Amino acid sequence: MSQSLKPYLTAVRHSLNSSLCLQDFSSQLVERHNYPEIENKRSPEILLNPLHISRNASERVLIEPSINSVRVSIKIKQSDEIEEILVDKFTRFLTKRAENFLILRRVPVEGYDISFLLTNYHQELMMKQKLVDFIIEFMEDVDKEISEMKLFLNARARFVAESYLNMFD
Amino acid sequence: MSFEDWRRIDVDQYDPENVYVEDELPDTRPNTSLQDIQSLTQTLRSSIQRMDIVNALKTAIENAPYGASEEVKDAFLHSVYEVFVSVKLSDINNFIGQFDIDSIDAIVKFVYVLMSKEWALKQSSTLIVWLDRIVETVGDGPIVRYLSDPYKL
Repeated sequence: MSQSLKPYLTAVRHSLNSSLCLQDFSSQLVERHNYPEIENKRSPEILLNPLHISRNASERVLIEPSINSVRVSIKIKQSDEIEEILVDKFTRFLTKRAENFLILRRVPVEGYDISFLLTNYHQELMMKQKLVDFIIEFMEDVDKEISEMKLFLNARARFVAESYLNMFD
Repeated sequence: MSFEDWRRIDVDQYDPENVYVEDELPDTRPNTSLQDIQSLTQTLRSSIQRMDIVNALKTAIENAPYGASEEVKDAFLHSVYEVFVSVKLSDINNFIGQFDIDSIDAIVKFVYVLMSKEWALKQSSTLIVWLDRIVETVGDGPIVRYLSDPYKL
């Protein structure tokens, strides 16, 4: 693990740990409704200060806590055009299947590549520690996955180009 | 008004509990001007040159322009940013030991606010190391206190 990745991940882990302190909270505006307060943002008294954690301009995390939900948005590193395409495809693949991921948000928050929405129900259902672990692991793995895919793509392109040009030998 | 559209009258607007009134905070400085920040920047810079980071941050915390205009806050954050990035990574631990817990809360707040600024992203790895070391020494407390901190920058 590189030198600057560790403090970044521990910062995210501690910020998540602190903000994941959720409770059931019915809407104050609409009777018998109960929705993630961070998503409608209509009662400012139950929203908390957002936490920005940035490693550099292309890698950052935004944690927006509220009384019954936390929204975690991740910007994945994209250093060139190939990575941009790969990240786009990868996140689209995941968000299309958001139903099976429970905590995944269908649309990422603006400026970020992928967002998770953790509500008090998720926290009742799953262990908080494991949720935090999952998000940290996701952040670690997604970089690895993207660079692996990039290598594979380049190797494949070279192979295809070689076999195509061999025809003209 | 005709009585046909009485359903369209928004009665909720007369509900006194419908409007959220922010708490009045005792220690804000809404009248801080850009000149004040400039002189503060000068003091901070001279402290940085003497490598007196502890005092620099303490003066910054004392003079933080809570409740002032965005422009003033931004100028203030720029000068605080200079203090943070002038520290060598290996020295951070020594400095953190010299602050009391209230100052550390304020430092954590500065770090989080700075990381949200576009212009501070170049050196944000230094800011992250600050946060990491603080959490290492005093635990999650400052982050939790920042979450509900009404003094915003």
